[in-house]
This record gives sequence, structure tokens and C-alpha cells, in this order.
Amino acid sequence: MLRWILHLALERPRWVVALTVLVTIIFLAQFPRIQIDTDPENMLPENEPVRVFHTELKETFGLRDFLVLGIVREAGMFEPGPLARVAAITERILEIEGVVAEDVLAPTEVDDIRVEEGGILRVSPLMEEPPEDHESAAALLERIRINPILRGKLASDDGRAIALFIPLTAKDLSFEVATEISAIADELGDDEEYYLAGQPVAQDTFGAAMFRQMAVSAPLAGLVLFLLMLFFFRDPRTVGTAMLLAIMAVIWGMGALIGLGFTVHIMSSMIPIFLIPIAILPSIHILSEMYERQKDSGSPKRAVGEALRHLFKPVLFTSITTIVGFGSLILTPIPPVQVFGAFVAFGIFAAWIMSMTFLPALVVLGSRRATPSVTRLPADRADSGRHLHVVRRMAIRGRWGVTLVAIVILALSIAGLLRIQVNDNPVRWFKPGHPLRVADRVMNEHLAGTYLAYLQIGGEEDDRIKDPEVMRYIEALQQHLGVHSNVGATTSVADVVKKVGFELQFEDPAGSVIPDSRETIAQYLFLYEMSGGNPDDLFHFITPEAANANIWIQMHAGENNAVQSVVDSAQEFIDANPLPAGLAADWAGLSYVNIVWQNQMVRGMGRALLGSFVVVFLMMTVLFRSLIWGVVSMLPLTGTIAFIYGMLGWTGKYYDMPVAVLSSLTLGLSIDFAIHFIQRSREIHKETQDFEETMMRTFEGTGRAIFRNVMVLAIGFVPMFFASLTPYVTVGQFFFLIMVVSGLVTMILLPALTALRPSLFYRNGTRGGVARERVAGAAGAGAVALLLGVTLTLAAGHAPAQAQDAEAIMKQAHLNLYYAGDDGSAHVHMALVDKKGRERVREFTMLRWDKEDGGEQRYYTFFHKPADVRRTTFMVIKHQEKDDDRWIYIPSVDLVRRISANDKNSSFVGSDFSYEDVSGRHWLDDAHELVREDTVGDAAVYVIKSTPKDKAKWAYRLVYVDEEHVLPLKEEYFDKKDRMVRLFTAQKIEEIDGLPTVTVRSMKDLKKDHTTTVTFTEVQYDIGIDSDIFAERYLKNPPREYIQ
Amino acid sequence: MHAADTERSRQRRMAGAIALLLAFLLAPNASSAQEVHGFVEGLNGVRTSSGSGFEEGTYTARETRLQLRLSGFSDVAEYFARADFLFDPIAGSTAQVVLREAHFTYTGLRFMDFKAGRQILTWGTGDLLFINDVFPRSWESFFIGRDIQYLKEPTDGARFSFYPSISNIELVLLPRFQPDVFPTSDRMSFYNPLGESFDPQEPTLELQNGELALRAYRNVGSFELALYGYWGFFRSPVGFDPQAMQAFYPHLNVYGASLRRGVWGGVANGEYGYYDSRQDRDGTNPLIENSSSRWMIGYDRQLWTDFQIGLQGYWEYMNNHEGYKAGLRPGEYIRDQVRHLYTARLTQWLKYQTLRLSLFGYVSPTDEDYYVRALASYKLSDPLEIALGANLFGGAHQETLFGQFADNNNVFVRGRYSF
Repeated sequence: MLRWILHLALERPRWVVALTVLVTIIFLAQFPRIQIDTDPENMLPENEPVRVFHTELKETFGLRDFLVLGIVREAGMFEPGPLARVAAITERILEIEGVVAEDVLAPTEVDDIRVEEGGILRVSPLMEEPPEDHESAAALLERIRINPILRGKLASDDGRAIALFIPLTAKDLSFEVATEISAIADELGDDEEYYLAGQPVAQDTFGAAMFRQMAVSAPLAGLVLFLLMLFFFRDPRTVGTAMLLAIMAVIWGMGALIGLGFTVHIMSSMIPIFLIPIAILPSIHILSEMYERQKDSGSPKRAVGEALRHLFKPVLFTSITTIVGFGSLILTPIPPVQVFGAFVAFGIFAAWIMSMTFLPALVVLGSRRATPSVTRLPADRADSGRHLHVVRRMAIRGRWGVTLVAIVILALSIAGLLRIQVNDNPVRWFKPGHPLRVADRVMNEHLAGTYLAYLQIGGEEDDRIKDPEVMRYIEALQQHLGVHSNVGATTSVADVVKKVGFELQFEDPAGSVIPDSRETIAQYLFLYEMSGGNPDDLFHFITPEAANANIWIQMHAGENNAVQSVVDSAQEFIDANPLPAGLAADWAGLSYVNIVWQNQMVRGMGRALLGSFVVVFLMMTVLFRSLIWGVVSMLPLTGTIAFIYGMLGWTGKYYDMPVAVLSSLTLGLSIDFAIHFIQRSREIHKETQDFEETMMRTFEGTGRAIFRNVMVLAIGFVPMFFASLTPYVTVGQFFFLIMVVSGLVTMILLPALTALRPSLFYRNGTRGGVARERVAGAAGAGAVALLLGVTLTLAAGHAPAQAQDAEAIMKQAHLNLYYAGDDGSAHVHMALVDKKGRERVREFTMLRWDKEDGGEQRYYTFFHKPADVRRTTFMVIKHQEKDDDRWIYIPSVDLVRRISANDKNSSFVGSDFSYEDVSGRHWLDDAHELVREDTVGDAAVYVIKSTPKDKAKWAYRLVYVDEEHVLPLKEEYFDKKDRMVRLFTAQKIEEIDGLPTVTVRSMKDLKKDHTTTVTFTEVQYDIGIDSDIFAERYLKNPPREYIQ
Repeated sequence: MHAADTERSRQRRMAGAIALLLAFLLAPNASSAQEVHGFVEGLNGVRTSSGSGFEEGTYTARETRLQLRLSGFSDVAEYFARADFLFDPIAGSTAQVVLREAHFTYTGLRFMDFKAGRQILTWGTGDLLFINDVFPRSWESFFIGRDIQYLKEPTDGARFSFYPSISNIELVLLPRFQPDVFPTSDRMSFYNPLGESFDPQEPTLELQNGELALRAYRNVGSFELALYGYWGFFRSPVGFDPQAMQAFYPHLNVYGASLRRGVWGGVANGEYGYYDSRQDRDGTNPLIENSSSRWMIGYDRQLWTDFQIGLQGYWEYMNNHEGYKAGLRPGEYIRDQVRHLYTARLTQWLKYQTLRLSLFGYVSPTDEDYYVRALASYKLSDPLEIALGANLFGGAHQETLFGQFADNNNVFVRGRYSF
């Protein structure tokens, strides 16, 4: 393959360049379609339960995302002047597009409850007109202070701050709305300070700032990189080529991302910054090598050919390892991170292709025009060479010392790792002096807090909330939370009830209690509703049916740790005081959604890192065909990761999103140095058979290239230390550290370790022939292709769903057939009959447990027949998004085997049913179309044509779904030529525990004339199967309460 | 080997007969479900090459066996016994009874299970490669084509399984040492540096010679992690006592770990074990096996419907290779410091999974030897199965594991009726 590539690049340079430019233009053409997404909620998949619940809750209670405008006046806000300005500003804000006017909380908008003369309860705006004098203004503050619903929220107790809560129709409008509000405040404000806060504005502002940063930081980093490379190579044209290549890789990566319809998220905005340095690396190596060779061979074409031949394998492997590092992010459960990983990986792949084709072609084209002598040699910087040899001597002579120091540092780093704190808060993405951070601080000092979480208490039963027991429970929970240092205020329907009671008792604090009877509570709420208040205000706290209540929890700090501590505190209360029967407590709110995705992220990143660590280790072992070299080559990256994250632990800096993502970068970059170093030193050793000599020459060639790489990238990212957004600063610092530490480890620790026992590492004599090297090379190329395939498949999996009606029917049929009840058990008899009428029989007991309808399921199967597999047990955990997990227990050898499960078409125990037929083909795997309505026997059916979205064993199928029970009565499978190949028939439907159940079904293979008939007996549903039985313990010892 | 072997087999037969008798007597009294199953099987294997005193065409296996399985259970307990009634002219006896398994399991407690008696024990993640699975095996059965269940030899002991929330723990106590079963000279030729009088000394049945094996396992995310420990003996006689002029089974501790998870639609596993040869920790005693580190990785997945491929790599690193080499006599075979072993398994199912073609191969580039096991089995009906297979060995040196069997290539046919 290499020869072919070289031939192409060196002999057909024009074609290669033209083609590359064309492809780049195609990718570039995608850029105008860019879609931006700054919503951290999208860090979780759309179907993530907490997200679904969050959206649901927002709908149920008519909740919105808020902007908070804080107005602070040291001399006090409750004076006629300031209040008049507040009223005027409020009026203007109500007119802004994107503001939900009826839900704005402001003194002129919120309702106050009071009893008028004659004992009539009246709900009316708190401040209908701005007060005329000091006294009535002070009275207004008093009204707020005695109102549990408003206290601390609308105004601070000392009267110096007022907050306006401004709900938005959509979160992504917050930046625009915030800009308009600022303008209004500037225009109408006087001696008050105005602050804007709230999570949406932080996120949206970040999004806007992010793109400014991208436009500043990334090009600046690029410029510094360019200058540094110029300093080392002294040839603008070659350095320009390397830069060009990197930029083109970015265009490919970002173009693919945008072209495939993915949104540019906070994560993916960083792709250029990650990609540029990585894409430059191979070019630097190739150009360095080329200059070395040009000294001998003279012709640039020959030199570039030789350089590529030498570097093909190391560059291939460094590219693959980096691809693996970033590709592993696909394993995380967070979509934006997956996208980021996939497209950085793709960009690296693009850079690799171009460095093997485009780069040599350019060099050849360039040399044709100019005379060879013009291509200047790099200044042979003897000084750096001398320093390198000092390093080498130090590493080798002081090998024991180096090893010892490394061990001590590693131990310290591990101790540091244990101290890492996971935490994040979007507001912290801004530097401390940013207006948003200031606003955040000031408002959380004065008021009850700008971070909101919702705790829903509720159940199925209507009017349950009006029960005094429930009301008191909510009140007690609020009191418990109120003590928490991070909670500024909590508000619920209980406060409304108490407030009504308080007013009805003519502002007697003794009236501010939960009444003893449900009727009184209901009357109070009815009274509130009927007295002219906006009923929607009430419904923010309680559903119209009164089945659910919503407690608003305002917090001062939005860091995950702080929010988590509030959640824990609530859980403590619930554990100590069980919820009233039939009720459940569920969290929602942006602050809560944040902690969920961040917890997932940390676990996901950990898994991804571990996974890619193992893969890279295996690749190294294969590349060097030596276990010991495999282990040694992992040292730089292990050391670097341990050191950097250890530092994080010691310095107490939080492990947040940018930091988490950088672990893959560390992995990808630091292995590169080790690969180049080891590969080269082994080659040299093969020639020289002498350790000292090997080290000397390795340091001269590869050592210098590594040194240059370290310098270029470390210094190149220093500009990012000065970015205005902290994630960018973090990334800059990390780059710097990664480069320096992994460079040091490679240049010092690797030689020192190998010097401990050179004979262990460098064998005398030649082992491993050319043929095997070729195989390794081919395997590497295969891996690249595979990874690319994975990336593309991932990208392709996002087609929109169509044909809702048919799909809804199919979904229901699927749920009825495979998810009946919450669990179930059955004795299954399977008869397999071939065309000669010979019958084989399988009998087993099957247990099923559903985590949720349409979601994860667990199956446990105990075989009774045939005799030779009796007592074999089989377990499947069926996932929605990934392959199933399957285990089998073979009793005769006491062996639990995990079996691979990528092919759902495999026959289940030799029958005509495939695994997919047994556990259900997901309704989203096919496109459904309602063809007609018909009858099967006496039953009316929908006939639905289902066409697989991906490749399947059949072209389409017609499913006859019973309109009454919504169960498939018949499924006809067709091939491409419209011949029926398979036929499923539901032969008997019985109602069991109230659930229609197909108790006899058959599948016929029409080509082979082979039929399997399945009969279910002893079917039971909702028997309370313990999900714990789906474990190795019970594979070995079947749960006898279910299996006889 | 004969003396110990006959002694053991007599013990076994006695124990087997008694246990079976007891089981049948007790069984009708048990209130719970009880059942008897089993099979009748014939196995014939012939050599396809001559050498080392064996002619082509002579039998490597020629046996007929009846296996009976008796089991019963209640809600809290189970018993299980499996006995083989065997007619094997090559082994010299006319008929034998071998009690393969006889154990009792108590499952009545939520936090633990308990299993005592003669049982087969397996753990670890390898496919016919064993690092942390230190329980006895019968290589003889494996090499002559018996069903795979005969690769594992039973042990007498007790197994405690605990299920605390942090990790599942299995603790196995084996009071009586049981070596691996290697081919006998009745059947196969093999490398014996000591000549005919090869009769290793087994650890005596004493309290301090009891073996202890431990496994802790849990799932971390989608990873299945396990840690292992073993305190006992090598199962092959890799020590030599110059005073008694007799081989023996040296002390061995093993510490290891394994990891398994689904990867790209397949299953990947990795395993490590440190073999601590307690009587030769520094590796300088040439008469006792060195300590070693053993590594294994494997990947198994389906390539297409009903076709499965499994690949494994295994590396054994001898700790003190210099010390080992120093103890060798001139001209003696030198093992490499790192032993590499690779395996591949290919399995294809056909005809509604009634016909199974499988190929399993070991190859070691360092030992320069290989072993291939090919098997085609066909289910004529639910109870009736026939199998045809071949065992092919080869190697450059007669001292290596598979190289010593180079003259023992054989083909075999097996028929079984299950009930």
C-alpha cells in the first residue's frame, strides 16, 4: 500500500493536490449550514429519563426558564423614585419579544392576597401604582416580608435589592433578551445598579463568547505555532504547508460534522483547537526527517520518499492511537462528547491521509518550480542538540535515580488522583471579573438565589395534595431544606394555603398554619383562585387536579457539589420520614439536570479512558511485537495522565467538563512520542547492536523531532492562557503540561528504564521479518478503516422518524407482545419441524423483567429439554441503544461464559425464531407505513408495511396488527423480489391476568419448509421477580421459587 | 505413576459406589422434585502416524460409557450426582465406576451459598487457556477426543459464595490434592526425561497441605472484573527431589485478575496471573519451576450468522531466566524467557444448528509447536449425536507441551444417546 501511495504522491502530484483541494472545498461548502447549540441540557440524550421528566414537569406546571434582573440600591429600593423606575422598566420588559409577559414576577405583576373590609379575600397586584411617599413604600416592603411566597424572592429583607424574574418562551433567546434589558436599564435607570443573572443567560452568553473566542484564540494559537515552526525550520513554504494541512484537516472535520447535520456545541467548538496541533505533528516529523535525508540524497523527491518509507509505520500508529483516544469518547453516554470524539478522530484520519499524499505531492510540486538549492536546510541548531545529549547522559547514568524519582512522583500523583473533586457550574466558565459572575455573586448575596431546582411530590390520585397529611409533609420538607446553607428559599402550595389562612385570620400569625381538614384546604385554594388571582400562578405549584405539587427550591450556588448536597439533604429527610402512601418525589430543574449529566460524564470518561488505554496497549504490543515494549511504551502516557490529574487533585481545581475531555487528548498525544522514540531506537539497534550508540543516534534524530514538537505545541498554546473563558484557559494549560510532561517522560524515563537492563529490551540478532511488518501495517490500515466506518455509522444513525401513525401502532404492538406487565414467567415448548416432518423439541422456563416499557429488559432461561442441555441456563440483558449482553452457564464444566451478541439474526436454539424475534425488533429499526385495513379471520387488522432502515435479512414485511388487542396476528416477510420468505402467525390469543397474550405462535421458513411452533403455558405476569436474579449466582443456582 | 493411580482409582470407585448407593436410598425420601438423566456413549480413536513405539492404526481411545445423573432440589437446597460406568480395554480394566460429581448445595440464605462434595470448579476468562483457573484438568481426555466436559477433573472440597454488596466472593477449600491427568504410556507417547520410573510424590493428606482458592468478582459499569488468589501446589510435577530421586508437586501461590466486557459486538477479555513458586522464589534452584507472570487477552465475536471466531494471545514470562539457564545441563533444551501462545477458535453452525464444525488451534512461536483440534458434530435427532474429530500435534522439540505428542496424531468418532 505504501508503495502505491508513494507512487501516486510523487509521480502524480498534480492529481493528488487537485483532488485534495476539491474534497476540501466540498467540506468547506458545508460551513454555511452551521447550527449552534449552547444548551447544556443537550449534554444528555433526548430520551434520558431526567430530561424527559424535566420537560414534562415544566409542561405540567407551566414553568419557564428565567432571567433574573437584580436591582440594587444601597440607600434602599423602597422609595418612591426607585419603585417608579422599577415599574417603568417592568412595563418595557413586558413588551420584549420572547418574554412570557403574564408570568413575569415583578412588584407590579405579582399577586398579593389580602382581606378587605367585610372579610372578602382579594387577590390583586402587589403594587398597582408606585407609592407616592416613603411610608407607603415601606409598607410595601412589609407586605413582601410577611408573604412566604415572595419573601427573599422579590426583594431582600433589608429592602436594598429587588429582583424581577423574567420567564422566556425559549432558552436560546436569553442572550438577545438580556441585551435588550440591559439597554432598557441603561436608558431608564438612575442611581441603582442593575445585574442580570440566571443559568440560561450564562449559557447563552457563553455560547456567544465561545464563538468570539474561536475567532480570536484559535487563530492566535495558529499564528504562534506558525512563528515557532518558522523559527525551527526557517522555511516559510514548508511551514506554511504544514499549517495548511492542519487547517484543511480542521475543514474536513468540521465540514463533516456540519454537513451531517450535527450541531456545534460547546464541545465541538473546540475541535479546531484540538485538531491543529495534532494534525501538525506528523508533518513536523516528516519534514524533519526529510531535511535529514536531503543532506545525503540531495533530491527533495528522493528525500521525501525515503522519509515517508521510514515514517509510514510510526505515523500510521500515532494516528491510529490518537484516533483511538478520541474515538473512545464515542463510548461516553453524552451525545456532544460523542460527536466531538468522532469528528476529531475523523479530522486526524484526514490529516493522516493528507500527510501521506498531499504533503509529499506539494513538496514535489514545489521543488519542480524552484531549483533544489533554494529549499533551504534547517539551521542545524547545535545548541538544542547539545542540550539533548546532556539529557541523554543524565538519563542513562542516573538511571536508578531517575527510576526512583519517577516512582515517588507517580506515588504522589496517585495520592493526588484520590483527591480529585468533580464539580462544574456554567457560571464558572467565566472569569471572576466577568459581569455575569459579578451579577451572580451580588444577587445571591442579597436574595434567595438564582439557581432553581424543582422537587415534585405527587402520585396518581387526584386531590391527594389537598390532604392535610401531604400538606404538612411538604411544609416539613421545606423547613428541613430551609436550614441548608445553600438554600435561599423554598416555595410551594403549602405556602399559598398558609398565606390565605394568615390573611383570613386578619394577619394573625396563628392563622399561618395548614388547616386540619382537606375541605378547608380545598376551600382556601378555591378562594385564592376565585379572588381575582391569576390561576396560572397557583398552577405553578399544584396541578389543577391536585395530584402533584411542585416545590421551588432557590439556591445560592449552582455548583454541582452544592446542588447535590441539597438533593442529598432532601433525600435524608425522605428516608427518615417516609413519603405519605402513594406519593413519589422527583427532581427536575436545570441545576438538577446539570448534576445528572456531569455524573454520567465522569463515569463515561473514565470508561472511555480505560477502554482506549487497553486498546492502545494492545496496539503497542502488536506494533512492537513485544509485551515488555508494549508496557514500556505506555509509560509516558500513564505517567502524564497520572501526573496531570494528580496535580489537579493536589491543587484542588475541579474536575469539570473540559478537563474530562482532555484525558483522551493526553492519551493520544503522549503515546506518539513513545512510538517514535521506541520504533526508531529499535531500528538503530538492529544496525548497531550497541545500546549507547543506539541512544546517541535516537536522541540526535527522533529526540530532536520530539524536542521541537514539545516546544512548538507547548509554547503555541500559551496564548490560550489569556482567553476570557476559563475552559479555554484550562485547555491551554493542559496542552502545555501534556507536552512538557510527556516529552520529559519520553526523553528521560524511557532511556533510563531501558538502560536498567538493555538486554531485556534490545535483543541481539534480528527477530521479526519483513513479512510480519507488512501484516502489522495492513492491520493498522484496517483499523483506521474500521474506525472511520464506526464514525460514519454513528453519524448516519440520526435519520428523522416518519409515519407517526403506523409507528405508534407498531410501538404499541411491540409493547403488548414483549413488555406485557412489569415482569412475567412462562413455560415454553418449542417444536421444530423440518420438511420431512421430523420434530425436535426445546422446553424451557423463561423469566422476564422490564426496567421500563420499551427499555432495558432482562431474560433468564432455564432449559429442560433436550436432555443433553438440561439445566443449562441462559441470561440476556437487552439494551435499547447497544448490543445485548448474554451469558450462558454450562453445568457440566461449571462454566459461565459471556457470549457475543452482535448478530440478532442468529437462530435462537436452532429454531426459526431469531434472537430478535424472541426479544423483539425495535420499532424504530423499521420505517412503518399503514397500507390498508383488512381482516384476518374475524379480526379487523391494520396492515402495516415495515421496511428496515438498515440492512436486514429481508426487504420488508407486512404486519397484520389486531385492532382490538394491538397484537400482530400475522407477519409476512418478503425479499427484494417480493417473494414471501418467512411467515409469522399468532395462532392463539388468550387473556391472562387481564393482558392479551399470544400463547401459540409459529414461524415458518418458506424456502426451507421448516417451521417452529411455540406454545406458552403457565404464563404469569407481575409476579414481582427480583431483578437481582439476573446474575451469575442464579445462573449457577436457579431461583427455585420460579423454576421447578 | 501406576501405584498412585491405581490407589486413587480404587478410592474413587469405592467412594463412588457408596455415594451412589446413598443417593438412591435417600432420594425417594426427599420431598422435592428428583430426576435421573444421562447418556450412553461410544468413543473410538486411532492413531494416524507411527513412531515412539506406536504403530499407525493403533487405538488411542476405545471406550463405552454410561453416564447417570441424579439430581433433586427443594426451595433451599439441591443435590447432584454424576457417575460414569466405563468399559475401557486400553486402561486395562474391564469395568470401572467413576464418580464424577456428588455434591450438595445450600441456597437458603440471601447473603451466601454453600456447596460441598465432589465438584467441578471453573473460573477465569480464557477459552481453553488457563491462568487463574488452577483446578485440575485431564489433558489426556482432551487429547484423545473425549467430550469437553472430561477436560475438567473433579475435586473434593467445599465452596462458599458470599454476596455482599461491594463484590461477590467465592472461597474454595480443597483438603486433598488432585494433580492434572496427563496421558499415560498406554495410550500416547510423550517426553519423559526420567525414563520409566516416573512416579511423582504427591502432597500428603494433611491439614497444612490443604488448598485455598479465592475469587472476588463484580461488575463495574459494563466491565466484569475479578480478582483471584490461590494457595496450594503446581498441578504438574515440576519439582525434583534429588535425595529421593523423585519428582514432586512444588508449592504454588497464584495472584491474578481478569476483566471482560462486550466490545464492538464481541466479547473481549484479559487476564493476568502471577505464579509465585514458593520453594524457588529467587529462581535459582534448577530443580524447581521458576516463578512467572502470565498474561492473556482474547476477543470473541460472531462474524456472520452462525459463525463465531475467537482469538487469544497468552504470554508466560519466566522471572529468572538466567538462573534457569544456569541450572541446565549442556545440550539441554532451553525454554525462552517469554513463552508466547496463540489460539484461534472457529465455529460454524449449519442446518438449524444441528451440524457444528469447529476448529481450535494452539500455536506457540517460542516453543515452536502447535496443536489443532478439529471437530464436526451432527445431531441426528434430539437424543442422538455423532461426532468426528481429529487431534493434530507438531513441534520442533520433543520437550515442549505439544511437541512431545508429535507422534500421536489421531482421529476419532463418537456417538452418544442422551436421555
